[in-house]
Amino acid sequence: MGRYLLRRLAACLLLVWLVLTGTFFLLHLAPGGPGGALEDPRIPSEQRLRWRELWGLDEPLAAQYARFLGAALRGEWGHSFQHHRPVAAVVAGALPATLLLAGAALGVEWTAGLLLGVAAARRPGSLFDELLRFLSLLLYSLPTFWLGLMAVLLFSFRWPLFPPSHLASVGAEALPPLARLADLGAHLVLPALAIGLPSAAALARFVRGSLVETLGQEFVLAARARGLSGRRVLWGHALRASLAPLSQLFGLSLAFLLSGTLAVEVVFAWPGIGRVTFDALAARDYPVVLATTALSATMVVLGSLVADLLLAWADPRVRRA
Amino acid sequence: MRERGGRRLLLTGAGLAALLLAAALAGPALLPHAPDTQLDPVAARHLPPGSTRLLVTLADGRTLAAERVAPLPGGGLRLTRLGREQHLAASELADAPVRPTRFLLGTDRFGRDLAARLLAGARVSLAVGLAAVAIALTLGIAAGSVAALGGRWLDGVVMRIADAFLAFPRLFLALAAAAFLGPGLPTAIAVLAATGWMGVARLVRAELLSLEGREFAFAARASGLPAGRIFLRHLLPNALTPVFVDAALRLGDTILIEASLSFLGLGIQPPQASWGNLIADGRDALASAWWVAAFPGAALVVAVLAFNLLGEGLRDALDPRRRRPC
Repeated sequence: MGRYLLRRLAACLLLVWLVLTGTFFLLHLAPGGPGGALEDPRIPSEQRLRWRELWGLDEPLAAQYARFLGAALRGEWGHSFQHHRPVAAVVAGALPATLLLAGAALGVEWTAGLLLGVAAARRPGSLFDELLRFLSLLLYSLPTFWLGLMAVLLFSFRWPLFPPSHLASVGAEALPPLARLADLGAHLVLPALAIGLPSAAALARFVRGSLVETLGQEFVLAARARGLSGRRVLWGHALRASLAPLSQLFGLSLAFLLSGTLAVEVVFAWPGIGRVTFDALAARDYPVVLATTALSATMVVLGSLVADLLLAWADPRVRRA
Repeated sequence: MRERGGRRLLLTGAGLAALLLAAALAGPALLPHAPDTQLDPVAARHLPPGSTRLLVTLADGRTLAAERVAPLPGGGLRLTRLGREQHLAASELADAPVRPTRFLLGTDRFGRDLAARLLAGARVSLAVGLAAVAIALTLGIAAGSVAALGGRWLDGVVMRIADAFLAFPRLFLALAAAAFLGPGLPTAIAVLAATGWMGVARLVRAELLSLEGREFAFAARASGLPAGRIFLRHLLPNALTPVFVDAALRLGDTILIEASLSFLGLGIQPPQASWGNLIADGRDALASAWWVAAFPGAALVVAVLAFNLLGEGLRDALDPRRRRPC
């Protein structure tokens, strides 16, 4: 197990390095330099040259790359061109908002996905199962950003139940703690549903397939023969046996936590990593783009590692192999 | 039971997809005006779905959208536009100037017909999706074949590159590439193809590796056929069935990512219409003109759903394991 873990970690590091290298050269070899102030003709050229020097953009590419890797290893991500703050501060400022949103979306995905999947698996082939299958295909085909917009249209504009954007109401800082929490919760509802529901549909299909397969196995029949109630067989025995592939799926949904929120963050003006990345791309803010890319690539790689480890934990056959 | 369900999915998906393709192909012939014609930026701005206006064509080619038109003596017209009366002399008008028009899906903020833009968007979104998937399939089949048959070293290199691409969230990579290469239609196709080949390569590689160990492949080698011929005539055709089934599902995903890219402003650039940038237009006017965002999104959902149904149905129909009743 220890050697396996080491090998997997080494492979992860290799992947993150490949992704960073790819992004670095993509950014630097693309036509046109960093936009914004660096190319603004209204700013004196000596000033722009000084900035270039300051940010190391005048060095040969290989030297820049070496310096970037060295700094990245020490955990230094440099200065944002756009925010004039350390990149680490920019990312750290946006990370909690994204984690909150992604966590809520994950909750929606797994609650709705498990319930729908189990419901469909109870009577495979029934009209209800067929209906759920179509419904989940439909949900799965919904673009998150459009779902978000339509949710705002209906539940913020038509029936003003939830706020349409941002993380908190204006002046929320002055509210007592409980009211602040409620305010935050209200702001979370629409974006979390917009991200969570389409993924819940995909999950429900998976849960259904996995459960139907398990329910056909002999130990389920044996449990039934021992006189256990249908509910107990379903939740206690069958679902538990389907846990292995599901736990792997959970790791994978962790992997796409950061990137899955991007479009919805833009729709809801959510001050998270997705928005920061999007703005940095528009402004060609290299250091920020590199840092958020590294972060999301690390999440993907770690998420798949967690997925495999969870699988090994849940399925003794994999562990022995 | 399951088989019938599968067939129903397949037929629904195929029907919807055929309908969409037909609408996209016939697009310009179906509607009286071009998608980027500003019919009347003032009086036809944000007309709700189902509105009717009398389009009056002027001698210089511009149009005015009037609520009512009455003839004046001498060939001129008196129109009521935005509740105000306006007189036009015969010399200012084109021949046969008045045309009653119903805006089935309403108009956008420049007074453009949303139905026309929706159809134009269908052409772009479907074309980009099809082209990107075709290129991704070609790349993926080539990479997968090289990995499966090129020996251990090449296999390692190709699959590590695929892993690195997979470690990028797709939208993220597409956004970064589009931002730095300059957005537009060719970039959108290239970026979607470049981020879509890895799954195909893995699938082709796995299929080829399993086929290589089968008896017919062994028989082909034993009969002294050249390796290239075995690959092209025996292995590859057998490996491709799952790839094409998979391609229908991929097409849905690709259209969705293109829409996200265009929605975020890094895909198809206005005034060229794509469903994604139409939704972005609608976002800015969401409170006052819901239809501008709603209809293109609905079209997008129908398209993605069509290809998902098609892919699901094909998989059910072709995979015998799924056909067994359970």
